[in-house]
Amino acid sequence: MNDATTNIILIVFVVVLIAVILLVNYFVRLGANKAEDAIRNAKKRSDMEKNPPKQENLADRYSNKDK
Amino acid sequence: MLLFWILMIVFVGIAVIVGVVKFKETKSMAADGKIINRKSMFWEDAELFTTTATYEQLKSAVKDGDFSSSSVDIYYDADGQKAILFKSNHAWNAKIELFGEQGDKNVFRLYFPAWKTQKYGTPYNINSMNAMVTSIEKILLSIDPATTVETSKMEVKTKTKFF
Repeated sequence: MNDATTNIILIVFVVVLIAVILLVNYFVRLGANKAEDAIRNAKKRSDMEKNPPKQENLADRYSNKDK
Repeated sequence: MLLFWILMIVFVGIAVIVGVVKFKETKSMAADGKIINRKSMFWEDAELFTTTATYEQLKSAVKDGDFSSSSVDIYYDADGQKAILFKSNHAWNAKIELFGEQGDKNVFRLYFPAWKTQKYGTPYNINSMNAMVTSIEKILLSIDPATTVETSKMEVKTKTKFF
């Protein structure tokens, strides 16, 4: 195997290695984000069942703003 | 070792200065009535307004309104619907749309369809989002002082970028 072939193999190896690292990193973050979203959304649904949204007068938000 | 401590002091100093500037900005905007105190993570909620205001009245009031604190481009009749889309330079979008009717009143839904977050999950400029909601609420109150509001939590879906 001559030097040129060795260099090409080395470059291809590095490129593949970087691609694999990026892919693994992406899928780990994707999984983590999906899991976090699922937990947060389940908590929101549960909170909404316990405390259903109530109607309030919009004006109260402004008259009570200094409280 | 000395360099480490110098860098630490510089970083902490910058963080403190940024914090103080942000705090002063929030206080000043609240004093000017541009923002009000809201629940934490309010950008994940949808506001349902029940009002006598019509879409045309709302559109006209938004055209005359002041959204300078939110730095937004406004798109009327978004997606061919009775909806107004606000695209902010602070990396968020907001939308108010005619959601339905309740007797002789209209129901409008205001929510943030998308926003970008910093590393720790908070949007880049919360005050600009607050100012946006405040401006819309004030517009609705100016049209119909008896407007009611209902806040419901929206489900979130995080987009993961490859890089």
